[in-house]
Amino acid sequence: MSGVPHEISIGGVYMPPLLVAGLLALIATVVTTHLLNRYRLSRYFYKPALVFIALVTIYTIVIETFILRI
Amino acid sequence: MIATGGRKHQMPAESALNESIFVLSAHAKHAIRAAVAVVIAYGIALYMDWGNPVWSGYTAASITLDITGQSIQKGLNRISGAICGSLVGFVLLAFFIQDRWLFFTFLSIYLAISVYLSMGTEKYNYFWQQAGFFAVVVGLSTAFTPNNAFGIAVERVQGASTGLLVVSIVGLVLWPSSSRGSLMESLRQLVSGLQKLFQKETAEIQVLGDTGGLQEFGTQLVSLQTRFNSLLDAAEVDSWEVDEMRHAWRRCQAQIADLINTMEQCSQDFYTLRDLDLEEFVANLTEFNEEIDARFTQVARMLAGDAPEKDPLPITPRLDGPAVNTLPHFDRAALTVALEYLEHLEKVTGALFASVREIMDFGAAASAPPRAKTPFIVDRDRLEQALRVTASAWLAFLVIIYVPGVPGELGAAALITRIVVADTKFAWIPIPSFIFPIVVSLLFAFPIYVFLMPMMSSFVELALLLFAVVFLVHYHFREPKQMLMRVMLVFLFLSVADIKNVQEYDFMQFANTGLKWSLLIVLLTMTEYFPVSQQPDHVFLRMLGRFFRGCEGLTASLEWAPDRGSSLRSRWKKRFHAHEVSTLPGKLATWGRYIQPSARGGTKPEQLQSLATSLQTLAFRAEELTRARSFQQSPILVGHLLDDMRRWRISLQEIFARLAEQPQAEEAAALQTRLSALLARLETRIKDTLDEAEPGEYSAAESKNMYRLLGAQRGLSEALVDFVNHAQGIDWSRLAEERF
Repeated sequence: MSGVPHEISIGGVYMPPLLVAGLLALIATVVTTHLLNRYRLSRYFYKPALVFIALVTIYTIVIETFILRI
Repeated sequence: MIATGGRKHQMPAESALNESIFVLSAHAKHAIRAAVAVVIAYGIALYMDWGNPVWSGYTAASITLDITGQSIQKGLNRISGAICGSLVGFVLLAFFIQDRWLFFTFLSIYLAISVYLSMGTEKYNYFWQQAGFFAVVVGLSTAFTPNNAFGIAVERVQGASTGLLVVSIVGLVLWPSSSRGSLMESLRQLVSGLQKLFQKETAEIQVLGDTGGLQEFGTQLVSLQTRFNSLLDAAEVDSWEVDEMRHAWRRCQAQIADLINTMEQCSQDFYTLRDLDLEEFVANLTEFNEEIDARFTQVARMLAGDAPEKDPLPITPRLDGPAVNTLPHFDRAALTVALEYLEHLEKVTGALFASVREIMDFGAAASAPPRAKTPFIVDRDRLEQALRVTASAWLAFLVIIYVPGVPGELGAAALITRIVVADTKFAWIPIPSFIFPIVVSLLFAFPIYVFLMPMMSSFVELALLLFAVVFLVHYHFREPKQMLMRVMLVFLFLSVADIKNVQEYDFMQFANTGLKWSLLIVLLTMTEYFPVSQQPDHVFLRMLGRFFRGCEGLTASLEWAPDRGSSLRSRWKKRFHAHEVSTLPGKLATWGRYIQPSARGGTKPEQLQSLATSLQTLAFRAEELTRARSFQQSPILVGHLLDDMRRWRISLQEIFARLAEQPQAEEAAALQTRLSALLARLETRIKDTLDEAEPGEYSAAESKNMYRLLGAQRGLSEALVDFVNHAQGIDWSRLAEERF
């Protein structure tokens, strides 16, 4: 992780890393929750709405740290 | 001969082919009108060199409806909403331009209020939506610079006015259609439907003991009624004949709504009397039915343009005393309630006859009944939607503030807020359903913007492109259920194209639009769960719990206490519970349709609809009981029956409280036995009380009121058992499972 702020370039379009990480995190969360719903595993969670937000946050941090390497 | 004969046979086929080519369908005409309006609106905006011609073009596309009056009505709502919202935006900027947090706090409060009001009536829905949109546009799109704010507000109102003007002129020139003809046709269909429903009710329920077909028929009438209401709003704008008679038309509208409601309640009530031969107990039932049927016939005759052959004859259904005295008390009570509905039916059909006679100019004006005041009642679902919009607006605002470089910045927050406000009208549609139309719209707009538009060099070419796109979209996605796709395609195409006099082509324009809409989906997805879940299965269960808590509260308000209902708080609570009970069954039916199969488990969609219908019956019965309770009762009868009535009431309250927590808590057979035992005990007490009563201890009116109350009690008990029967087939454990 470098301390210098930088942007992500996708096809010449510069975007804030947090936005890209947030979008990818949301897609990952939707896929995860869809699978949890499909296999009826979501019933084991208390307040899935909060779990959803927690998952988005976790995925955002993971994607930022390990994939985008900000 | 053969050749001649062959040619002779070909003639009709050729003419049919010509007809099919040259006679345009109503959908094609509508699509052409929309396309021409968009082209002209763009032409004017570009000629005048306005900064954002897209506002004129999009207004023209969004307000073009099948009937000119409807378009004008929608356009007027758009302009008046724009002015109102702009003014609020100016005021907020004037007060809080130095403090963005205070500014956004007050803007979100105003947004919540406009969303709450927009969900109140269909007529003013668009006005309040626009009033919310424009405050956001003026406040956010201008990025807190007052000079921009005024310019943007003026340009947008200018754009909306141009769009309205163009649509009105196009509507008058291209296949003009006045709303009056459609309104008259719609009223004819409604009257004919009501007559058939009445005939079916009098025939089928008593003979066959069946209400199944009637429910379906009633649903068709409600959809006809919705169309009639919308056409009446439009006809007041584009037809001076309707505008001149608007008071009579509005009375007629209220009478139609009253008749549909009364007939629905009547059908449920007759169903409880299916084991009795009503003709034996209602002395003049045949004459009564004939008179009501004749009234409908005369109304239909007037609507066809012919003078009525006869005026309504006043007729009151009356019970056959000796025959009725042989019946058990609860059957007498049910008959009293049924008779009350028939009397109301007689009154309303007479009033409808008078209104139609006035509208068609066949007689003197009917006297207008005083308008009933509707007290203000808080609607929790509208509050929830207002809360959701506020949460989405705040989320968007915080993202713009704390995430640097979000495309569009405050403009993106404005777009997101506007779309969330629009989404409140279809809150039950899951957010993933939006993803497909958005992606398709962007993919549709991209090649046109990147490859086709740069090749154009004149307005004629642009006009042809606009015409083709708008025509294709409006023609292909013409069904009401395809509205989302139609709106998205046109809006996103016009946004991406961003047509201006000095046209620039930039991939960033497309990429930024795509990113703004992605951000929109992210925030909408989050607010679907937070702060209040909008998942249809969660909403369904929440509403069901509220319905039974409302029933419990309403039943508790029936208590026989000296100071019952005297305080402002208790009156307000009673009104709130009554509002919840009467409105929730319809909402449950709507949300029930959108529950995902994974949440339904083994439950079929039809079972959920039947459940909603049984709740509607329960709501009618609760309303009937509240009304019956408001009449004066004999102190002597009440004194004797008080303990048993209290026992029944408390028992019912306990059942409702259990159902509010667990809809499957009761078992139908056990409940039936329990309630029957309570009612049987009550009936015995009535018999003893009446046997012991001295002549003159209670009046005939008090006796009738007591029967009315007992009839309502029995009706409510039966409706409750009916609900429990329907509830047994539902997979409640699956529905209540925690789910994302």
